[in-house]
Amino acid sequence: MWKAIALKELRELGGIAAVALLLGLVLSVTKIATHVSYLPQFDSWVGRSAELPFLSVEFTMFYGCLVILLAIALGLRQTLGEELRGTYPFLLHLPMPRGGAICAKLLAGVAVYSVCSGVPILVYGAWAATPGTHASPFFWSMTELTVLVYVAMLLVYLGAFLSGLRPARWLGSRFLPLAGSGGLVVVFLFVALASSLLGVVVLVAATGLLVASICHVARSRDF
Amino acid sequence: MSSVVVKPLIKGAVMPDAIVTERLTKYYGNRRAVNCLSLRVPAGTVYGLLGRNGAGKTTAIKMLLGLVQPDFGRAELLGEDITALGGTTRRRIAYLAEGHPLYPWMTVGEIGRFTRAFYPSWNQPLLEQILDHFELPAKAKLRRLSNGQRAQVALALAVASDPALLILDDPTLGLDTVVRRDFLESMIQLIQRTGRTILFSSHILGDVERVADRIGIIDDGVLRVDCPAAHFKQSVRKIVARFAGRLPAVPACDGLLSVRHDGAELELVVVGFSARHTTLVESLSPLSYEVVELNLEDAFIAYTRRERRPLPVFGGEPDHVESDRTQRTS
Repeated sequence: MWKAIALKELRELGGIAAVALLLGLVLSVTKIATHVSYLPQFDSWVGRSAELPFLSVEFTMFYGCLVILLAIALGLRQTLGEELRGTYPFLLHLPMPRGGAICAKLLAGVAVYSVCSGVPILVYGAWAATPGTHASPFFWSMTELTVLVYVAMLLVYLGAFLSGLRPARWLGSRFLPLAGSGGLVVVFLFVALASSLLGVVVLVAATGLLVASICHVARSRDF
Repeated sequence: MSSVVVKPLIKGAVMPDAIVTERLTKYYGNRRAVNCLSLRVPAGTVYGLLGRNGAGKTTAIKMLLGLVQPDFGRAELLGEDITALGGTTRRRIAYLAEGHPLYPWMTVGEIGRFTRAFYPSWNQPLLEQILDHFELPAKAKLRRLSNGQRAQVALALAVASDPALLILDDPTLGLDTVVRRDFLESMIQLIQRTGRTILFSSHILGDVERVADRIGIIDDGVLRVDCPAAHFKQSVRKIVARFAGRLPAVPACDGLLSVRHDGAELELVVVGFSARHTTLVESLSPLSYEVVELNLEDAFIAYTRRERRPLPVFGGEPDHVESDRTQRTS
C-alpha cells in the first residue's frame, strides 16, 4: 500500500524532478566552468572566477532560488494537484489509514526534494574535492551555507504541502502556512549560523511543528 | 412536509444492517447540510438515496466513508462504528465517487494495479472480464476515455475488490442516456449476482426505479422518505379539481404537499392519499375532480418542489401555463 502510493507520487513528481535536476546540473556545471582555466572559450561566456568553491554568494543565491521553487512546486503539486483533480475521495477511501496515505506522499516528496536539491551540491562538491581541478583549497565544511539552504528549504516544502492540504477560501489564507514556513527558515538560518547545535534544535522543532500540523489537518479536514 | 416511513417488510424478520446512521448531522457554516439523518439499510438491499442537487446526498455519503467529519450523530458500516473502521472492514467497502475521479495520467491497467495493492482479496480475473466486456484496453490512458468509459473503469475497480457494501455517489452523473442505460444494466448484472448491499445516490429517478429495492428521499438535509419505491409512488397522488367560478381557498389538511391554481383548476398534491383527501376536495364543491397516479419522477418532483414565484415570461399567458400543466401531468 505504501509502495503503491509512493510509486504513484514519484510518477506524478517525475516532470518537476526532471526539470529541477536539469537546472541543478546546469547550475553546477556552469559554476564549475567558471573555475576551469583550461577551457578559455568559457572565459568570455561566464567569466573566470577566482573565488573558492561554494563560497560565492552568487552560487548560493542561484541555488537557493532553484530549491525554493522546487520545494514549493513539489508541495503544491502533491496536495493541490489531488484537490483540483478531485482525486482525494478516490485515494482516501482506499483501505489505508488516512495518516498513512499522507505520510507516504510526504516521504515521496521529501525523497524527490532531497535527491533533486542534493545533486548540484554533490556534483559541484565532488568536482571541488578532486585534486588538481582548481587552484584553491577545498574542505567539505565550505559547503556549510549551501547545505543550510538545502536543509532550510525542506521547511518550505513542508509549508507548501500544508498550504495545499489545508482548506482555504482565498489565496491569502491558502498561503499562510507557506509564509509561516518562510519565517521559520529565516529564524533557522540566523540561529544555525550562530550555533550549529541550536540550529539543529530549531530545525527539529520547526519540522515537528509543520509535520504535526500536516497530520492534524489530514485527520480533521473534510475531503 | 409529511414523511413516509415504512418498517421492515416481513414482520419479525431480522436482517443485519449494513448501514446504520443515528442523527447524523453536518453543518457548513450556519447551513445544515445534513440534519439528523437516521437510516437503516439491511444487508442485501439496493438502496437509492434521492434528492435534488445540494440536498445533502454527497455529504451524507462522505460522512459514512469518513471523508467528512459529522458534527453530531454516529454511523455504523457493516456493524462497525465509522470512527473506528478497521482495515478489514474497509476492505469490504467499495466507493464510487461522484464524477468518477481517477488519475488521468494512468492507463486502465495501471489504475487496476494501483488499486489492487490495497486489497488482498482482489479479483483480477473479474476485473479483466469486466474491462473486456466494456471493451476497455489496458493500455488506454484514462485521460483519453469518455465520461462513460471512466465510469465503467471506476465500477470495474469497485467490483473487483469484491465488496460486501458498495456505495455509489451519483454513478450516472454526466452520462448520456444510452451510456447511462448500459452502465446501469452492467451495474445490475455485476451487483445482483452476489447479493451485496448497495447504497447509491442519484437525482435521475428512472435509474433508481430500475435498480433500487428501497428509496430514501433527502431534502434540505432531512431524510423525508424511507420506504420501498412502489410504496412511495402509491402514497403520493395529485387531485385535479375543476370549478365554475372563482377558485376556493383550500383548508390545511394533513398530508397536503402543495396547492396549485391553474385557470379554473385546482391541483392538490397529497402524500399518504386517503379518503380524507377526497372528502376535503368534495367539501370545496368542484364541478368534477380526478385523482391522478404519479410515476416515481412526478411523485419525487411533487414531493420535493418548493413554491416559487411564477416566471415573468409566463405571467398572464394562459396558453403557456396550460401547456406547462399538460406537460407535467402527462
